[in-house]
Amino acid sequence: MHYGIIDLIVALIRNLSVFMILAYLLTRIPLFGDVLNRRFTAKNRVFLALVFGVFSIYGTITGIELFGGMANFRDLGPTIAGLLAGPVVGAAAGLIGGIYRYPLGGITALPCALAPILAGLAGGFFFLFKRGREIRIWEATLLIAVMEFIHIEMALAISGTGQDVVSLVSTALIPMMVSNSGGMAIFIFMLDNLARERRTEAAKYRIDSELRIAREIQKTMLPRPKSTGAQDSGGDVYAVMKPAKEVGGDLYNFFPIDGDRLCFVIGDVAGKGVPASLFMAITQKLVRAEAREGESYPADLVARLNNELCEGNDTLTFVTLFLGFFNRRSGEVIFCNAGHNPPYRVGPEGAEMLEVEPAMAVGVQEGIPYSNQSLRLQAGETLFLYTDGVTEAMDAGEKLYSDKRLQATLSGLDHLPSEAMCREILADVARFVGDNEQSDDITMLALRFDGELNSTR
Amino acid sequence: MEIWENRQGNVVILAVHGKLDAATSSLFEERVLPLLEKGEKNFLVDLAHLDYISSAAMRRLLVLAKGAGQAGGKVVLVALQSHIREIFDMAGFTQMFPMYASAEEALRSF
Repeated sequence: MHYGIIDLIVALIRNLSVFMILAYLLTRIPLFGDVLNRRFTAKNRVFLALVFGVFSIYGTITGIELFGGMANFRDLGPTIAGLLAGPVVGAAAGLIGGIYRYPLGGITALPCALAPILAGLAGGFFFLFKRGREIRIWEATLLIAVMEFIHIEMALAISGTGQDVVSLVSTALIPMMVSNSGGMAIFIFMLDNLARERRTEAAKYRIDSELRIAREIQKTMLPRPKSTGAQDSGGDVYAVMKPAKEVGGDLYNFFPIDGDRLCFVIGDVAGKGVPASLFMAITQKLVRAEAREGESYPADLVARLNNELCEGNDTLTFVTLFLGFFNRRSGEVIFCNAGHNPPYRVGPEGAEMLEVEPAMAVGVQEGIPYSNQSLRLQAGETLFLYTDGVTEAMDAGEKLYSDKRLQATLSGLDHLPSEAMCREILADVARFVGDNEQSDDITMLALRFDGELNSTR
Repeated sequence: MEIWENRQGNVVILAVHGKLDAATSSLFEERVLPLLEKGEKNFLVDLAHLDYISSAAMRRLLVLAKGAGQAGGKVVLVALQSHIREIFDMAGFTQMFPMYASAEEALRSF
């Protein structure tokens, strides 16, 4: 059979493809991870020597005969074995390939059997020289090209310079250099990708676990989502947060500031991730720390919070807050809105968005004034507070849940206690969103007033 | 999100197109903070083609405004769509930025 150079290259590349698929599979097995991390054991060294020895044999079998010699990639496997695990493993793989090759005979039997061993050693010494630094594609490619050149020179030196040898060698040199170099380039490229992938994965794993911990800490800072006060007064409060996968900066809290009154707050820190969750934690703690027993006006509390949060806040992370005092006995609510979404007042006539005076979110500018507003809930009315995670919940078509839908849904829910109302909204948002991933914390807080209690209770 | 940068005298004009959400607002910051570092202090931000702004993006505008203010300059916002304006109003940041209907009008304020 006679091959032209082009046919030869095409045939070699075809054979190489099989080799590449096997090499790819090899890089995916767990043992290979240890090799990449240079954690060598007797077991994985023997394994590598065997596998790349077999690759070398495969390179011989699929070689293309040329006047009694072979154009092949017998040297590639041992070189890679050397590059991965040092001269001993490289030479061992080469020895396997060489032992298979020698008895096949031909005029170049001896040089062809020696070349893979030499190539394995060369790869191994290069491995030692690099001392764990990344092997560049061009270095490995050059190395194998040089080895092929030496292989051919060796064939000339050992097998003489007869006409047939020169002819074989001159036809085989270019295809052998091209295909072996190509194979090496692809293999190192695969290795590079694998190493990068592993680094990314490790970083991602670390970040994921940190986010998970941040979310856990955040959760412990919120009061448990339970109703409060339904038994001993005319009002009940319920709040719930459904955190997004990526930790966000929503917060809520409620606690008594005197016998009849509860302080309640809902807020949303700008941004997401760990920075937002840190700011959320600070805010959450500050609300509790700054609230004074028997305090009359929420705006005073908000102003103090603002000043505290502004101090040294160079990143200008801000938090929108709706904070108020709810008198569970009379239904009176005094509130202060600092840049937060206006809540809905839900009653038998429907849900209505509260008119709020615009005021700046806290954390940006020290010393700004905040004002109080008030309302009196009638028996059966509920004040429904939420964060934009509710109204900006997105379905698969990137449509927003919207104020409108929230208002419409709330309108039919006035008969429900606060907990059931929140659950209904959560369920409706979930229905709307479908399978789309939740991108922001969803938080809501409902205050319900069931009627003034008479003193003979 | 796309930012078109332009200049008129000593004013840097930034036209923001598309959405400024959690992801793109950090791109905005990467683009804008180097300008501050180079000594620019007057910024006209054209929001006519801005469709959405997140709180994270507003924070970045505040940071820009603070930096410009400390350098003796300012940030003005131009041509906000009504729903964007509402978001600024709600968070109470309208007072932090001079706002103008047109770029010509805004440029005269520098």
